[in-house]
Amino acid sequence: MADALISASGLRKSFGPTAALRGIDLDVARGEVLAVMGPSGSGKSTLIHCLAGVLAPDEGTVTIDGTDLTSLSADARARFRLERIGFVFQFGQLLPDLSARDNVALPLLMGGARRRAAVATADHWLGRLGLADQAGKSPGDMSGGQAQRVAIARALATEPSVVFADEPTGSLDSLSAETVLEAMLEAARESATTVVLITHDARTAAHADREVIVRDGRLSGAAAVAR
Amino acid sequence: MTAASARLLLLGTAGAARRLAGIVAGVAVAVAMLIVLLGTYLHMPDRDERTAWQVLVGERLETSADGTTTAPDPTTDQMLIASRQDYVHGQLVTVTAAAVSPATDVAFPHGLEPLVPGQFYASPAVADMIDHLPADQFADRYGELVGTLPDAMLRGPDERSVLVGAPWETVASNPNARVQPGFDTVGQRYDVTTYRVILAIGSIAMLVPIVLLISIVSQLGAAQRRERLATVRLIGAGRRAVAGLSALEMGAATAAGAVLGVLAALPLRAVASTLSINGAQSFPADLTPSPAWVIATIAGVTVLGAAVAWWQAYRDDVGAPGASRERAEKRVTGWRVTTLGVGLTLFAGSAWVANTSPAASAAAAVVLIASFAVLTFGIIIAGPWLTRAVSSAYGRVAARASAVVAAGRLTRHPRSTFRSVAGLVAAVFIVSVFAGVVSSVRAITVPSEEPGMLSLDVVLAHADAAHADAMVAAARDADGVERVVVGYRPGDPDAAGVVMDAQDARAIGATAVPDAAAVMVDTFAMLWGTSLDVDAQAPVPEPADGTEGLEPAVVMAVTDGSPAAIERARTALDIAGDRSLAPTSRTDAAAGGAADITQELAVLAYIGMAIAIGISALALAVATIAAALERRRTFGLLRLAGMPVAQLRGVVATEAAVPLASTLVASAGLGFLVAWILVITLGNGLEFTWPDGRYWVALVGSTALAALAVAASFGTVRRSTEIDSTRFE
Ligand SMILES: Nc1ncnc2c1ncn2[C@@H]1O[C@H](COP(=O)(O)OP(=O)(O)OP(=O)(O)O)[C@@H](O)[C@H]1O
Ligand SMILES: [Mg+2]
Repeated sequence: MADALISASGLRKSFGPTAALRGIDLDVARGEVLAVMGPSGSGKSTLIHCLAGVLAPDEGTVTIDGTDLTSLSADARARFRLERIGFVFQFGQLLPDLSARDNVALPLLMGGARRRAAVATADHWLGRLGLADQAGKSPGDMSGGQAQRVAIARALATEPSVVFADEPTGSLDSLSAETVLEAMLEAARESATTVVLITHDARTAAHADREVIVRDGRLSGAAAVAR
Repeated sequence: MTAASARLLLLGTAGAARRLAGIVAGVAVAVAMLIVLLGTYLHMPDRDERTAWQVLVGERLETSADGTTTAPDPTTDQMLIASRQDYVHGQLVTVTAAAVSPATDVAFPHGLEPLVPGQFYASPAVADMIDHLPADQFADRYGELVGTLPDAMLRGPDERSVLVGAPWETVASNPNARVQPGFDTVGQRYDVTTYRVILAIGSIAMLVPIVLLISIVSQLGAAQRRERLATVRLIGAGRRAVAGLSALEMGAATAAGAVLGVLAALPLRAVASTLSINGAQSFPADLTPSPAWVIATIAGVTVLGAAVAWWQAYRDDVGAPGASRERAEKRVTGWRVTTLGVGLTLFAGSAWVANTSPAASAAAAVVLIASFAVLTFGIIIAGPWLTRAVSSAYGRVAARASAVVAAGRLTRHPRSTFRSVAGLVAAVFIVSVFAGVVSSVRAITVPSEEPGMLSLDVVLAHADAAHADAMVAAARDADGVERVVVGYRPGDPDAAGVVMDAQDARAIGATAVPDAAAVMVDTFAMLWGTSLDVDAQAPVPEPADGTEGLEPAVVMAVTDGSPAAIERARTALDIAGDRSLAPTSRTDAAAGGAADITQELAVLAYIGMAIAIGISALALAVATIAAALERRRTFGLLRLAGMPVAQLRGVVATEAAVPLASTLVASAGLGFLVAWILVITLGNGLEFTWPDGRYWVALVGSTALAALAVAASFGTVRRSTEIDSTRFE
């Protein structure tokens, strides 16, 4: 793929005796929404952790936008994640002691933004995700769907090149799952952000541009189901 | 679910060993101190009992109007006894003079041979001084040293006391002498309440940080096993069962710590016995409580540890997984300051009552101490409110990511964040009170030359017609004496002062001496001051008719000011005088004041505080680690999102620094306020003085320890948030 934002080749990763990834080659295009599916324990989370530079693969390389993550130090990868990558997890990723606004502003502050500017940006993204009236609330006082939307706002607020989402709607009922997912994909598409989305749910995967299936640490048969 | 299976699930988890080791160490240090404090407390009266022989219990001699005494003739079944306070090179020596008939039946204490006039027994400390000082400066005052007073007759190993054999007639002419059938054995139970109260406060000061430590370590235990506890709860263990396990574990650890502490107390006694308490160091036995007390201490501390852990676990129950969502603490309100207000009001009130109505002062003293405890408690209650107030203001201005995270935590968890530093804050309060009081007392007791007061070079001795000439001659002969001055009893018996030559008055330090040949000078006021006030008005000499025909009342030696000359003059005047009162100087008058006692209390206080601060710092370290572990998921997420470890450390450091900074200043300020109240109400005209270097050392030391304690948690912060060790789904 010529205009690949993420390009991974020959990824292998083992945890002791467990081989989680057994040789994965994968390209993700700029602006693409990719769904990663597969049975439990097949290595999906391990894959995106390697793609995001959270874990260093035992073998293989990962390049994002021309930067070879596997050649960077742990600190440099942390810096890279802060500036270029957003994360959304299933639940419990917000700081319970901070308001929604401060939660969203946090990565901006970590990147050196001024408080006032960071808060303004946070309010902007909360507004885009339909949470303008929730900005002052703390996560403990929100519904699961609202909390996930705050997490999405936080992932997008730094305007990253790519957002990795590991079952972002896994803990929600199907109705709110739909709302949250649509909000995320709409916001991502508007800003042309690449999304790599792990899901168990075929309906969720249907929102993606493309779908890959991981089985036993490999991309299985119909690796690229293009839509 | 059986207790056994729950135990399998809970005990032996990662970090348990290190956590319990912290408890064992902290408890051991505190118990070692407690044991020594307790021993001191219990044996306080024994010290006085051993010195019963110094106590005058017999009939006073008959004294006629002109001051002459009538004593019975010597008999074999009676003795005459008198005592006085002597000084040598600024050290107090208690002199007990005993006169017995040659074939006396009076038994000397502890099998000592009866003394004949001119012989004396000395305590080891005095014997040592005699070895090191020329006889004309010291030993000549008492005669021939014939033996050492045994330990059983001394308050402590450094006690300076002598038992002197004196001629019957000499003691008989002493208006303070008593006739008794023998040495007293019961002794006078001196009022050691003050000391006991201080020891009790010291023990509380020791217990507060240890309770905080135990509660904080239990919290760490809960943090380390949050998931396991939640699982155990899900399987069906009750809240009480989980709390019971926690109590069991902590009880075992505190028991082990207490036993270690008792063992550590043995060598600690050697160090503690060198500290001066109530004017004397201690024999190791005086610091050793009986086995029953030791066992009671171990049992008490163990129960306390288990109870605190039980309560902590019961209150912080995690519940089953899913059921627990992180919640903010209940909001702390300004009401928390009321305890402090009540304590302060009670304190000031009782200090004022103790000052104004002596009749009520005993009751007021009890209230005073109780309100002191209320105040200390009040600081710990008000701390979270102050922490919340400061941190929410801080949160509004915070600009860095680490500051925003810390402020969020502080604002929502002021209780638990303050609890980490509560020990340090309480210790700083108590040390500030002590330091404030102690430095104020000391301010006036360092003697210096002051216009109108007796010159520090002068030794003053009481005299009468029979001895004055010999005293003058002896003083003149002493090396280093520049002038000898005699003061005469004025014709008017109601007049305060003695009559002397105007030149002589100037020589002993009097100012504003009128232009007359003879003047009347109040040497008593020149020696002691007219009050304890620093700015005591020096007495003003008045013109007098002359010394002709008057009886001598005092003989004063003006020396060259060297310590040796002063002691030589003192020895010469003493030997030639009537031996009823020891010659004295203004330096002695100051040394005999409250200064020594307060100084020794200050030393004790600073040592106690050093230990309390140490334990509190340990508690802070544990609390910081617990807080980091509790939030390893959020911290891990922050690192995942790219937060550098340095910023995470910043979060942890800020979470300790803000409550410390906001409450430390307040507690030091309150400490000085309390000290100031004490000084102005009960200080008899003392002036409040800021404390000396030791206080600032204690303050800087606690801050440094706090910084160390926080830094000690950095390793855990980094390891527990390591990306490989955290799983995110
Ligand atoms: N940190 C780790 N230590 C040890 N083994 C691990 C670790 N992370 C993953 N594994 C193992 O690697 C394999 C793949 O795990 P991974 O979490 O990637 O699966 P997954 O596809 O995300 O599963 P699920 O859908 O259940 O989240 C599993 O067998 C898992 O047990
Ligand atoms: Mg997974």
